[in-house]
Amino acid sequence: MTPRILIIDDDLAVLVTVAHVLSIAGYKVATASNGKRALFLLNRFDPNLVLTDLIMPEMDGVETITEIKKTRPDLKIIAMSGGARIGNGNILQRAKEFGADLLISKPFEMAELTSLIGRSLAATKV
Amino acid sequence: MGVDLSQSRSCGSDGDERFRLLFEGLNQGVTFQDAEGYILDANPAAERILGVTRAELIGRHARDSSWQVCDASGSAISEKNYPGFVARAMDQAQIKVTVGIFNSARGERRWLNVDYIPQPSLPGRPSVSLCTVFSDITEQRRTEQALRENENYLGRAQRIASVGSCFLDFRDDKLKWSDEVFSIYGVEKSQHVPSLDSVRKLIHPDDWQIYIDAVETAREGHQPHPIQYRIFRPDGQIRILFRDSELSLDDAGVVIGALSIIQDITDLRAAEKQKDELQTQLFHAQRLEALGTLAGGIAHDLNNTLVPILGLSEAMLSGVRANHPHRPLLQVIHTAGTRARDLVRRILTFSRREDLDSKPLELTPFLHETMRLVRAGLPANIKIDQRISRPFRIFGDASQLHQVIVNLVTNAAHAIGDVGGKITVRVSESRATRLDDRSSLAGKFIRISVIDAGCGMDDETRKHIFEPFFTTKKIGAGTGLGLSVVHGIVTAHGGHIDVTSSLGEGSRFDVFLPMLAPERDVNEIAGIAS
Repeated sequence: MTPRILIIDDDLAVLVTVAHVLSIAGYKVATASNGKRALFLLNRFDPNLVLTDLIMPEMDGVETITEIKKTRPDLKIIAMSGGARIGNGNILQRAKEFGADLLISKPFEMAELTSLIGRSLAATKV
Repeated sequence: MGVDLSQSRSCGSDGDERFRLLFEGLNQGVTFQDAEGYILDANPAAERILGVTRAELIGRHARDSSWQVCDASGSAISEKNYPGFVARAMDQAQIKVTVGIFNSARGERRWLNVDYIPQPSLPGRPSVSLCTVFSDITEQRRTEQALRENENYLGRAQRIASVGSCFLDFRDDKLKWSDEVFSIYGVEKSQHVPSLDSVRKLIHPDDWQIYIDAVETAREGHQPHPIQYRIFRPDGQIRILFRDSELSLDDAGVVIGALSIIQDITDLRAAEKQKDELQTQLFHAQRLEALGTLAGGIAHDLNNTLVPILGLSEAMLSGVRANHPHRPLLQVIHTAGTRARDLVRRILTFSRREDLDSKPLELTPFLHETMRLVRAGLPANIKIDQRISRPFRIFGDASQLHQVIVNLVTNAAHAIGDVGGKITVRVSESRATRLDDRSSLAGKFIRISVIDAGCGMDDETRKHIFEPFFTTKKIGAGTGLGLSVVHGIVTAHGGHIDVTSSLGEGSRFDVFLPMLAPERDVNEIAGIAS
């Protein structure tokens, strides 16, 4: 069965790029431009993995991760961000504390992303 | 008991009368004493001054205990030293002797100025042996005492304020100094006679004109402006003095001199300078912080923008055949995107938005290895003098610190240019002296100095060197990020960086990093660095 990946980012260009690359890589993808939309899609799309941006309007990445983990505590989540820090804290590290399993900094090589996803899914035994 | 002296005189009655009028009317007290010191007679002024009636005085001894006779210092006078006794014994007048006596009518001690005049034995008045003539100087003494106290207060006030006063008298060119001025100039009062000539020897030759111009301005009757000038003290110190003057006029309004106050403002100047430097440092730190925040914000947006540029060019490259005409064009997009990504990474380093991978680090092997790599990239006409074999440890990110050394040494090489020259890299121990919040946390710092004898820089350039994209190099020769990256890394390590430079004389960069002492907790250092 083809693994399903839910991509969340408020930047349309990022969504299009990542969706395109992951489709070519053989995954089934769905996109959400914010956390609320992602929670709505969660049950309908039933992803095996979530790839989420962190700095987003309305519901940010950390809140989104927290909400997802409430209903799907076992779901693998990869957090990505273009800003390494907020104030004195590292935003990616913060996402990890709130339940993100893996972290990746933007911009990334597509091979780096696909390899990260591959490893993550292998661990979950889809 | 009393002897009527006027009656006993053997001269004619006219003389007696004149003597009597003089004796009675004299404003000074007069007594006559016999050979043993008993008073034979006293005039009305004596009654008034001593507070005893003539009747009581006659027959009383000059050293009667009720008078509590004392000398000028207030000590009791022994019989042998009593001036009346001395005068009689030596047959020599004792003039202007200050004596204290207790005036029982006033209930207080009065001070007298007394002449003790021994009297030759005259026929007819053999018993008179001594005449005393005296006046009451109590008020005068009080005035003098008050004056002395005032002078004392003034001297102490000058000492407390470290302000001296001096008066230059234009009529004879004499210079009078208060005690504090001697101390300000560092000369002994007993060995230095102040004069324009002697003061010239103490004043810095470059500043003498300032001093003498102010003197001449005053001499011409114009109010001189306050001046500052340097002096050489005999102990070798150069001090900066401040002098402000006021003209002194006589009753006719003619200028007779100038009264000045003199103050040593060396420490004040140093404190002001330090304050200015701290303010400048603070200003630059705030400016760099603001630029860092701005750069961090831009970097975040750029990183997002670079995802499709890098990702889609990469995806398309893998989808097109090797000889497709679009392939090299896609390659250009991908390469440009990669360059932009690297640029953003450096900006993030400057703005301290990149994490450090800090570990305890032995400085000597680290620096030797770094210098070996740096040297390989330098032209042959650059010599490196390295003094880095000190067993220091720090807590830091080796690859980031490597970048610091590379950037500083490369910059030094650029400053030296084609002419060639020497770069010195030195490691030493330092106690940070900056009133910086980090310095107050950590005691000892190690200092890595990179010194070149290159072109140097002016103050204006020095103010901006750590700002991102500031460069003095030709367009295309540098990004202007090298030193901002250095600043970012050093600050992230809990250190700081100082620059001294002057145009044409080279530059010196001192990187201060907290020293890792064996007893120090690594986590504590990590806390400082984060």
